[in-house]
Amino acid sequence: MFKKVIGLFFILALALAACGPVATPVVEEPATSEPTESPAEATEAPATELSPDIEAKLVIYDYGDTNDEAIRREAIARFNEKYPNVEVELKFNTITTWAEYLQQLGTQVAGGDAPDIVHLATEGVKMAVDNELAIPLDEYIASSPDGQALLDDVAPAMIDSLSADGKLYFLPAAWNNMMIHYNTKVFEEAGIERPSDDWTWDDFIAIAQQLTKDTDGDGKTDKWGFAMPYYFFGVTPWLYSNGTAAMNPELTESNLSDLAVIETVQFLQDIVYEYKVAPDPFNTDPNASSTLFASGDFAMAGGGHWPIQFYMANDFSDYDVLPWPQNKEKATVFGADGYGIYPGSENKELAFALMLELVSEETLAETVSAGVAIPARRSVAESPGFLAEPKNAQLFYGSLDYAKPVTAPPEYAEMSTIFMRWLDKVMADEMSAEDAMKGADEELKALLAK
Amino acid sequence: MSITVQAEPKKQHRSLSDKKLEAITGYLFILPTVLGFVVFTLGPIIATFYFSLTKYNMLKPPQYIGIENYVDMLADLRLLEVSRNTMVFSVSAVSLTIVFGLLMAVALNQNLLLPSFIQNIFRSVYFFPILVAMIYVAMIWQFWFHKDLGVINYYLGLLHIEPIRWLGSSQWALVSIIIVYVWKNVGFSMLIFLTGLQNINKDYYEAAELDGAGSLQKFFGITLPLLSPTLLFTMIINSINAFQEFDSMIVLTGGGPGDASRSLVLYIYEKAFRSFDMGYASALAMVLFLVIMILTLVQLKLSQKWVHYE
Repeated sequence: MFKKVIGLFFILALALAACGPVATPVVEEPATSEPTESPAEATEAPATELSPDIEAKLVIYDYGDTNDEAIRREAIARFNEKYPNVEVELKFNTITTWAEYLQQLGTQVAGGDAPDIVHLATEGVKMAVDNELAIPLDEYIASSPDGQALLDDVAPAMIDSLSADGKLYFLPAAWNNMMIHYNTKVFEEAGIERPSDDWTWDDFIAIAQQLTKDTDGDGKTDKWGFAMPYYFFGVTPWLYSNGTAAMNPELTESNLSDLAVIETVQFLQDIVYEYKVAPDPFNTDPNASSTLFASGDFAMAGGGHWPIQFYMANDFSDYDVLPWPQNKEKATVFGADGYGIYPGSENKELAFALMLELVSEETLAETVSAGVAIPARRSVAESPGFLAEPKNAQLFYGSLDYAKPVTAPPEYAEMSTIFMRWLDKVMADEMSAEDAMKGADEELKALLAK
Repeated sequence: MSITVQAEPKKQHRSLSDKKLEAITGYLFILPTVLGFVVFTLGPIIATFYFSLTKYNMLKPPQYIGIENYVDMLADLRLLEVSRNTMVFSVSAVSLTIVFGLLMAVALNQNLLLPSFIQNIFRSVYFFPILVAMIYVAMIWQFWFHKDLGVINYYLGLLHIEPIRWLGSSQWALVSIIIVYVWKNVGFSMLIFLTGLQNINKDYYEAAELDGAGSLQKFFGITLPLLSPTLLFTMIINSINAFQEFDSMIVLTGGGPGDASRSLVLYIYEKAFRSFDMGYASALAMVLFLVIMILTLVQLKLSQKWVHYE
């Protein structure tokens, strides 16, 4: 019996180890336990002039899809023309979620294998600053004409979204927002004209109702007015256009018990259960809804610039974009991404030079052809290449006049999942908007109090 | 005389070194396993225990906070729901897998009914799902379960049953995941049972037939008791699997709506890698480890009462 128990212990231990996540943290003491170089020290660096013969190695921690990787490699090649003796290692992750990306970055840092350059987005800026993953760039920009030219070419809202405490931590590269995509052919066939850019929630519902149909008469809806984007970033514009947000502007307190938040959540439930213009949002995975949007089964969908890559690949061009409909104010959400310098980097100035190449006009122009994101530079976003498709493509960059950055406290990952988990119950028609948001509010407050 | 005296110690010496050599060889043989265990299993377990006593987000060094993480568990309402889900899921998934696996094995074991090549086809077909990664299986089931476009609701509709929100309602989400688990794992249990069945000596059945036993009597009097060691093995393997079910939940429901289909392991994963609360996640993992160990020991202890070794 004793042997059996021991054997069993081994089996269990193995089994537990097999459930991976729990057991994988690196046992080694993390390298971050050494105090990282202070920002003050870093700011002294830019004074020195970089020699083209400089010999060094730079590591970039980066993410994106395969198109992005090719674009990055070309930018690195251009950098190497100026600095041929610098070896650049691109650690590229094809990831799907922020959490996954940050987790891998965390593991790398913990394992003592920290990069020089980190690619991050608005969602992670406060978290990164809190955890000393990046240094302020203001001094580097001040001493670099190219850096200043970049900032002059970028909308102020975007710079804010990559800053913390008034300091810029990441050089803006690209960004995305939320717009309403509509199928122009479906609108045309139903005799519906494009609404004004200042359209309201009511206009939106009225149009969606006209386009929701049971075409084969089997008693079930088969053409839907709207495919609801169902993730935190995609739900946020409803909150913003109702004059509210998940947290207070300082990002220190929960705002989920706000009446306007409850009203918004109620509206989302109504879209599915009262007006019945969108199918229940569970498991409508974004790719499937892009396909169904292109096939005309969904007359409208919500998304940023990223679905356009899919439309282009499928030769679909019967679409255009509209600003988000408004209730209390015209608003939508956006999030930017950019490159920052890791505090432990030994070649910060060189890293900054490489970052400038990664966000150069040339590099950003290439991202335009990939179709995924909106370039950070206004000059590139107003180029014929970017404006080629759809008809109102200028609305993307134009939205920065009224768009607000995604609510991103240091606890972004947990905050957004709390909200979505409680919203689930509302969207499953199992809980009232009020009860759900009260529950979410309590949980978020407890989290922030930790 | 002198020769024997000389020979004696020599012989003793040789046999000692033989023993030592044998021992060393033995240790060398188990060394890779022991090393593997220490590095890949014991080490992580000790590390997990250490992290469970800290506040650690992977980006900053861990900070020792004593048993605070364990105290936090007592006030964690979500923990209650995900533990309940895990119990409901494990008990139903394991019992259904075993019942169906056994029925299928018994059916396939009726040599007279089907020619052997058809039996082989059935065996392969039933075993096939276990070979496919859960992530793909779950993606296909996701289409089947879809409320408006899914195959299952289409056929239910033909029977005039209202569409069921398989994945979008708290009532059905966990049931859907149990169905997928059983579908995927039943083939493995069937195969193990089939091997067990084929090991049962035919003489017992002949003797029982001579005594006039019917097929039910034969099943409960001979098959089941002689299959009990196999049953125990299947139970333990399935329980451990079910306790760790994770990927089907991520793909099918993401644990939702709310926490309706979130298991403890998924909860631990999310605490660790979505919230970066490695300390709390480690504490949960330690508790899960103890629970699985205790449950398995209980299963083994109870098994002495019902498992018969031939």
